[in-house]
Amino acid sequence: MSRASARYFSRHPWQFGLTLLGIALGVSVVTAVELASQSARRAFELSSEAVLGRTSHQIVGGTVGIPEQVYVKLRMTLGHLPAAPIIEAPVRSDDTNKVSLSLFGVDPLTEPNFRAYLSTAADAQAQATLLLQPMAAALSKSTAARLRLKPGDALTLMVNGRRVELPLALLLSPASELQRQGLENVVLTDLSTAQEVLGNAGYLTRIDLRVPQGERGLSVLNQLRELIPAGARLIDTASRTRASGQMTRAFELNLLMLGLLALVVGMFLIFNAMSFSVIQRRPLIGRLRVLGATRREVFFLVLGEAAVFGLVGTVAGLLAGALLAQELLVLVTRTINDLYFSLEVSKLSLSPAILIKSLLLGVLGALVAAVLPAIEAAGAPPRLALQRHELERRGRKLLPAVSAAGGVCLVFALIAMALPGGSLSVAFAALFFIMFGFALLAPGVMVLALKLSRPVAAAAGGDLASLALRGVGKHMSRTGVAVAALMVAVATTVGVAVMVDSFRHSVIDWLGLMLRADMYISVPGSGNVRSMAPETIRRVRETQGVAEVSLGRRIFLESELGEVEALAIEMAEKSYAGFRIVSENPERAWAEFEDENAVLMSEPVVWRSGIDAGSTIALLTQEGWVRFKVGGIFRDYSTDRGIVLMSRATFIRYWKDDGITTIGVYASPGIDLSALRQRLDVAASGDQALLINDAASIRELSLKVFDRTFTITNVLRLLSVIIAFVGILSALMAIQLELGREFAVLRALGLTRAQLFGIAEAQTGVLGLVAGFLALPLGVLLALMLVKVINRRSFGWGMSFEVDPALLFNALVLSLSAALLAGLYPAYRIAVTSPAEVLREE
Amino acid sequence: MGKALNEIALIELSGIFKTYREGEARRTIFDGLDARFEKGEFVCITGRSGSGKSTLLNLISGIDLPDKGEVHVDGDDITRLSDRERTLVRRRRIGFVFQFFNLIPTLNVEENLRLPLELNAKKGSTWDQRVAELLHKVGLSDRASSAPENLSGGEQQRVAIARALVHRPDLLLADEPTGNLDQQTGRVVLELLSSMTRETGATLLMVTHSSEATAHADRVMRIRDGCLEAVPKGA
Ligand SMILES: Nc1ncnc2c1ncn2[C@@H]1O[C@H](COP(=O)(O)OP(=O)(O)OP(=O)(O)O)[C@@H](O)[C@H]1O
Ligand SMILES: [Mg+2]
Repeated sequence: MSRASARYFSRHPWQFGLTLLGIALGVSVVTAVELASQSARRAFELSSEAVLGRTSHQIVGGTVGIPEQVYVKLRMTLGHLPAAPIIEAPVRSDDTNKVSLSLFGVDPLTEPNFRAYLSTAADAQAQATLLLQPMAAALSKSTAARLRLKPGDALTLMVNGRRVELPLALLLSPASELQRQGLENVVLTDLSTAQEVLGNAGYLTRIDLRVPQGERGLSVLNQLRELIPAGARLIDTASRTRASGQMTRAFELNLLMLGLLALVVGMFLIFNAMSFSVIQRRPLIGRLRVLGATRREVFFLVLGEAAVFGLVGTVAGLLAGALLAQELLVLVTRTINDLYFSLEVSKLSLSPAILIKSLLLGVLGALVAAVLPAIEAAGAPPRLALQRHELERRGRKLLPAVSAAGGVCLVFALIAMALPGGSLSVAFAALFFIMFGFALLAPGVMVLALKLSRPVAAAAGGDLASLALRGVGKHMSRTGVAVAALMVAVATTVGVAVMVDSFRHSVIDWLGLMLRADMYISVPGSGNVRSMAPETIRRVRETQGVAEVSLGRRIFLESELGEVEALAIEMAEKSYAGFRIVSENPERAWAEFEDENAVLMSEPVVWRSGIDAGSTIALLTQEGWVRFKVGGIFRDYSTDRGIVLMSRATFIRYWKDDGITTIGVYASPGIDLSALRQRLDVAASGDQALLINDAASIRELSLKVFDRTFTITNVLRLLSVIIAFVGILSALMAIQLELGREFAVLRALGLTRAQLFGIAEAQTGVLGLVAGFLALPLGVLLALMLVKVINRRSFGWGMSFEVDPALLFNALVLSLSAALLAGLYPAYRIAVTSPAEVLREE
Repeated sequence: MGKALNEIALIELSGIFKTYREGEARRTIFDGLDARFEKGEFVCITGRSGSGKSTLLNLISGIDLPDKGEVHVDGDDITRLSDRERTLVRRRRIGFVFQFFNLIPTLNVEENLRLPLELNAKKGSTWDQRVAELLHKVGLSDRASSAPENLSGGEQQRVAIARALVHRPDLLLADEPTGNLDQQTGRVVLELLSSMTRETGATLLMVTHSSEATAHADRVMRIRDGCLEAVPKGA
């Protein structure tokens, strides 16, 4: 029996191929997404592991860092405690590639207590080099190779807007993979060199500590707490690493969802292919039954085939997935770099867990998809030939049940959404129920639509047109599945496109609102960057044509929620309009903001912490922990970690720091902006390079980053359309094979090749249109879910929901053209097949 | 008989060679076959299974092409025509009746009859009448809107005959039209086929094994060794 099935597939190689392709595509997309995000996560873990080393606690904090004296005091009182002073800051290479690097200033004497990499160069020599040679830097071999540097060359960096040259004194050869990853893109220097580079003399970024466990550790911690000044904070590093890892969780979740969508479409494809192969062999199976094969045997024959398909397809999919993951990894890392922190991932980490998961997914997917067809096959009566229309009649009998199941799915989805306190996973469950519901409803809707459009078609195109339409309806068991698969794929693209588009519109609105000033002057870089010289600020204020300025300071502060980004701002008259308060009573919020030290928070903070307008948030100030009233909530898309806004007066009062990092320049009415810009260039020049941007270019840049973030989304969308395309192709090939005889008769009756081609293409066109029209409501529903539920629940962002009719129109065109394109080859085959040959096979 | 009036035969085959590939080997079906069929004739074609009867019909209808030789339909050599032109000749001038009926399952009885008319852009009330008339003749007026799958074999073949004649073709090709029917039904179908063809004045070429059929025919020919030979009537 298995020989009969092997021979069947060798006689229909395209069907064999398309089935495998379907499984392989589905598996590869899911695998690739998993691999890429896991590799990124793994790289993050490795680098934090390598950077943290054996650190158990850290002293962090302060706006400029921790005064060196703290370390000195610590050495004196707790001399036995392993402690390492660290300076860390993001920098960029000043070559054409502008590589993100991490400047890491250490004390070579204390480092070996925490991290082993220095021992990789001959110990004494490494320490001596870093200590003795002024401004010396060390890089790992691979990083140096990437930057095309060899020992003795100068490494040029952009730091806080200044160019710095460091001679490359030493190459480190990491002893392990972990070390290698950890040292990737790290510029290692001595403490004093780092301080000089950053212009931050006398300050450390943090002090790494190794506090012993147990009783003794507790007393050490108590001593430490007394030591650290107000404004600094002792943290448990394990918990901190976890928090950073979580930042990307939401992003990963979105990726995973897209991967799963691809799998769902892939499953359709497998189901499609398996059921085709069974239905096509009904006569063969009937004959086997006559010869004495039991239902069980037939059932397991089909399942066995599915298992073989699943296995072969999955293995192919895994290989393709690994390749695809390399590409996705670039996109994933880029997004993480744009949005979160600088991360260098040079290698895919192939964890066995992912491989096993994908293997199960593919094989089980194929088996599950084959169960229904197998049951169908086993139910075949032992007859020599079962007529096709008999089968289709049965299919039509099933139709109400299938449609009802679809309705039930939708009801489930409604229930899941109405569930109180719904979590993200419940939202995803609802999303999938909606998709399955629509998919199950698709064949029924298709049959209905065909019935309704038949008189129109007959009137417009005559019997040939209605012949084409009926062919679609008649072979519902194939066309229905194909339409469902295409619909899901197109709806996904609609859903994601509308979501991204809504998001983009919201971002554009927000940028337009936020960018009130005509020109912005800022210190380049991220993190706790050096503030501007007071002299610069004065010069800018006094520049001719400057009506007013707003002064801002972006900084990371310790809060009860961990590190939060804060913006301390001295508003200009027009600045207020730049913030959209979404909580109640904006006037009062502003009043409290100005007069009562209240802070405003952006939506993600509220979502993350549950702290809402009216309650308080504790921040670590120069005077220690202080609780600030939350005056209101505002909308901000600049970071999904959220941001705390306070007045500059409040900031100076509690942090004793009047530095600023941005100036918003409001021009006097009627001033020529390009001339103003030139004057500002002069005013802002000094030893620190400052960025001067007009509102339009900031807006442009922000949107560019935004679009980059969603590149990966587009790639995945495209993949799911390709999968659906393969699905349609296989459905049409099956139909073509089956209808060969009918088409041959039509040829004998005098239809030309062109007419046959036309009929075949009209049929696929109808499939594409039905799928496209069905995809619109589903897609909009998906988008609504993504915007109002998923994004809210995973990021805390509120956004407006907008449906651009052009997007919907594009989706229709996509669906129609995918179907027509997929139909080309089958239609061509129909047209060129010699009727004499087909008619001969009686 | 009518030969003197018609210089040109309806169908004339000359020097037909036809081979099929079978793996490496070549099988010769026709080896210089000549044949001539006049307007209005009813000719039965017999021969052993595999002798090339269906192939002959396919060559005449232009569904298949000879390796060598000419196939003239009303004086024109259709082997020189393009596929499209051959198709148009077939559409206009030829009707088909197959052993397995081959009605279009997605069209009902009446729509099946209309199909050749539609292809030939024959519209209007006269043609509506023609459909009704043919349905009446084959005794299926009450089944006009039935689906083919709901008809018996004999009924389906009667629809197929009506479909083959509805557009008034010059030539009707029937490949074992009774091969799939019981004797009783076969006789009815045969009767209809010959009487209706004679009525329209079309030529009927029928591949058959049944002696009953040959009794109706003007001539009986047999394919043997790649050539066509006349069989004396009654033999
Ligand atoms: N497309 C083809 N490829 C290869 N061989 C073919 C092809 N068409 C026909 N033949 C061979 O040519 C021979 C004649 O075929 P044909 O169908 O004309 O026979 P027939 O006389 O109609 O037989 P039957 O009475 O069984 O219908 C057969 O041996 C057949 O195998
Ligand atoms: Mg034959």
